[in-house]
Amino acid sequence: MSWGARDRRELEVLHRVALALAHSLEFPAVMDALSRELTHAVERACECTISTWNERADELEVASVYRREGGISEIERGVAYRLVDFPHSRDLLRAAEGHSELRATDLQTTDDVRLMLGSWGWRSWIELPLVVDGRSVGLIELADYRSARTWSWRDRQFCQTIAGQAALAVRNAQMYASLQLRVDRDPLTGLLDHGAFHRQLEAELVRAHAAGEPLIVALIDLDDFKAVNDARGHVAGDRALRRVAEALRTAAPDAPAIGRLGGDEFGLVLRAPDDPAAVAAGLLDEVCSRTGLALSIGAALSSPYDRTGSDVLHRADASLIDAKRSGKRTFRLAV
Amino acid sequence: MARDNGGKSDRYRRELEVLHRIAVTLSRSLSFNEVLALLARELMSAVDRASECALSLWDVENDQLVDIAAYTEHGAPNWPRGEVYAPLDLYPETRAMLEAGAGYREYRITDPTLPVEDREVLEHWGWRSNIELPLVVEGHSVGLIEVADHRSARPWSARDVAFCQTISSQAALAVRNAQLYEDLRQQVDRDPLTELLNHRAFYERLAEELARSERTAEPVAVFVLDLDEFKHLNDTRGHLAGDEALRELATVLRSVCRAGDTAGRLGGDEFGLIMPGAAADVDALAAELVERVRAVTGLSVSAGGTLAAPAERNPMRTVGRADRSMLAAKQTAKRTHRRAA
Repeated sequence: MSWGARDRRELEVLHRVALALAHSLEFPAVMDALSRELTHAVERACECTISTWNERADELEVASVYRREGGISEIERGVAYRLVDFPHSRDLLRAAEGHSELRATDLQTTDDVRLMLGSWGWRSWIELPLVVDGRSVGLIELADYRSARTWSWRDRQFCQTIAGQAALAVRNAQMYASLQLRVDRDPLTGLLDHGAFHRQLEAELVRAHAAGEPLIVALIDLDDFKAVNDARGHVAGDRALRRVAEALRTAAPDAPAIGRLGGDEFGLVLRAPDDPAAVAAGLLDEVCSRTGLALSIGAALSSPYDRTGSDVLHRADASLIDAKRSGKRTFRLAV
Repeated sequence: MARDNGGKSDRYRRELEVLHRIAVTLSRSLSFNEVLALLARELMSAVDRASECALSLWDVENDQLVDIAAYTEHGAPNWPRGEVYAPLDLYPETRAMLEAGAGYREYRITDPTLPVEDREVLEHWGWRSNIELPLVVEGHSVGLIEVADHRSARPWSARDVAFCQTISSQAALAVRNAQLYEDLRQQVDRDPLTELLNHRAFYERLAEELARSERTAEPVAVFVLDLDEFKHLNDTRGHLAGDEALRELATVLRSVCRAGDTAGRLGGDEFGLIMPGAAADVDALAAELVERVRAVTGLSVSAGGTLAAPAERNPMRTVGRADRSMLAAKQTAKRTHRRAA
């Protein structure tokens, strides 16, 4: 019979891996399933690390670590490694194929790497890219704590088969994650939508009360937006709204919430300002000059007596009406 | 004895290979319909005596099954899916099985006790025998799996039944994933008020249609509609009346969509319509749309249309042109109105 016990075991493992990876569409869960299944699939593997590749930052970020003793490790999740220090890994990611292997006893292994392996307690280490649709999305590393012998062709091949099969699940999880990013977002500007902005404001208010620091809540409204829309069409109007969104993001990169509340009205939440009036004035200046559009800002400072986000929003709204009445390109702050 | 062991081991191996192949195949797609079509094909080829596999969805509200996918030994049948309904009051035992979310049923044409409704099903499809089992996702039946034999009415072996059950319970993961994905996609792509595509999804669809039209050289007509005096309506009769008007307009737009057409809400009171293949006079079509909306809802709208230019890639451009043609129509209408007054 040509079907050996090992073939049979490998097929069983592949089947189990396929099912394990289909159990969730959430990216972290898929990564955990993959690191766990790989560790158990390859007999000599003591540990498996999967990291995602951030090509722009030239970094690897740890997505999941599984150890045969101890299971999933939470501590390392999210740790970033600069690829400058691991050029061979970067080469693998760029090539989107092949593997590389480091062994403590290999004469070619430099002292630095030997030290590093020693400090982690690894005797040998194999890595291969996780490739989805022809592009590397991350790196798979398997470590053997006990033996520095060469990794067999069959072990490597098996890892590659599993990684290849996992690509489908990883791609599905990526697609799902990219949809999740869009939920709660205003589709035109990518800012928080009305509901999400309100939820975020409530959460910030709770935090602000606890910290004893006030928030600035600002409502921003375009002057004469209707005129832009009517005179130059909706596409021009949409472009103007997107410019405002971009300017708000740039002007307040640390704002815990920026949303489009509807039509041409935007909302912004800022933490613990020293000089709230100066913050509002600066915001108005920067957004007007970045967009070349005239807008009005109504802002309010939260107080410990605000029970809900609506309380402070009402004051901001009153300020906005006040600002609109007193002319264009102005702000009013209620304290 | 040795031969027997070899046979068992071979069968185990073959089944494992099939199960593995199915698990991988079904994870290729996150589209609900596509996953079910793949499942029908895989089941048909996995079960030796099967000459057809048909899947239907359980429409609990209307107490019926709706055909969704099928595969026969000659390939996918060419009759339309999603249009064949089986009312479950004719098949109470099937309904009970779906409600239980467990078990299976077997039908054989040679069975003298076979109820007449079931015999009709077998005769209609030319099946000599079949088994049916629920497709259970997270404890609830979502549909029915039928595996049929065109040639033989012999009883189905316990092993065949168990194999079908293993495949369907394994497929449930992929079906659930596709459901999750499509639900989320729905949330992301739909305007909650009108349930039409939202701004982003509309532009994405238009970009796809433009790319398709470049390949097929088929024209794409794009229309933009806008409620006249929407602000006035909102201010005088309140936002609820405004919302109701938007919903009515959306309903009319849905009704004019042929298969392949797309309606979307671009924001506020502005709507868009993509009609691939509509090469006729777009201005006349726009005027027709205005009339249709007036006739059905009594609302006054302005509409403008344009044909995508050959090799046009930027959907903003296309919509921009339709927008301008709508604004021009609005101006003309206002002038006419003024003159009339």
